[in-house]
Amino acid sequence: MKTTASIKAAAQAAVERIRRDAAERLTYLVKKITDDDTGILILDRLEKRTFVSIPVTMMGAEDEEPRMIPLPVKRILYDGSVELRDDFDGTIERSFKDIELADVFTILELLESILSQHRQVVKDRNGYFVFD
Amino acid sequence: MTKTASSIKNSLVKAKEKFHKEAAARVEDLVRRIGGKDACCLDVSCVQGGISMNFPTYDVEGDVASRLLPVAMIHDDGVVGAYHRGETVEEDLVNFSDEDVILLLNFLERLCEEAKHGRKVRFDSEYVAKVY
Repeated sequence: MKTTASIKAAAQAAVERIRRDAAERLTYLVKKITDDDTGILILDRLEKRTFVSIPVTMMGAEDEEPRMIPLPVKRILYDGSVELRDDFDGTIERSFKDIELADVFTILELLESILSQHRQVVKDRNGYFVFD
Repeated sequence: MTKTASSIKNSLVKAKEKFHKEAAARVEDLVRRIGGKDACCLDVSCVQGGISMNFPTYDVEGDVASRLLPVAMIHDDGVVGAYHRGETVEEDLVNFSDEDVILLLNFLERLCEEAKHGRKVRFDSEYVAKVY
């Protein structure tokens, strides 16, 4: 019979393994789609936006629990970080490992569908890859 | 070659299933250890410093919400019960977050240790063991 400690350790190990596989797949997909080892993929031109929820403490409510706010994905970097567009048109950067697992799969599935549809990407003037 | 998003997702589903199966087995084992070999349920409503868990609920629009309720009953099959506004609310272990499942297991581990050292456990009905 497994104890609580060993059940918890096994579950944590499984999640870590899944996150590592997901991060490797993200890097692979971005490189494959952009055909570049330093590719940065811009998602702003996609018809349907993809959202990632991050914890945000509302102004003036610092003593309250942060709320999960969905923000649109702006760019995906080959190193596994994701940039989100905030309310003021700025950018919030999050490492792939800090994103909720449900959102990790949303991003991966989006990239898988882009790859399977053979969507064309082109470099913009800043050297980023955008959808043609 | 990296794993695809769908195969990583499959791994996650399998890991979750394994986690819940192991957790349910441990709950059953701990209920018996605390309440005796015939116990099918623990009434923990009288335990000082009990725990509260997030019970998933649905509002009128069908959106999932959750309410934090103090745990009152723990069944050997992994169903957890609470009293809320005069009603008994019950939920299966699989519908709680991983954190709440670990919280419940740690609570039972603590009760088990304390039961060995004199915490009172009495059968109020045929199979329900009341923990004081």
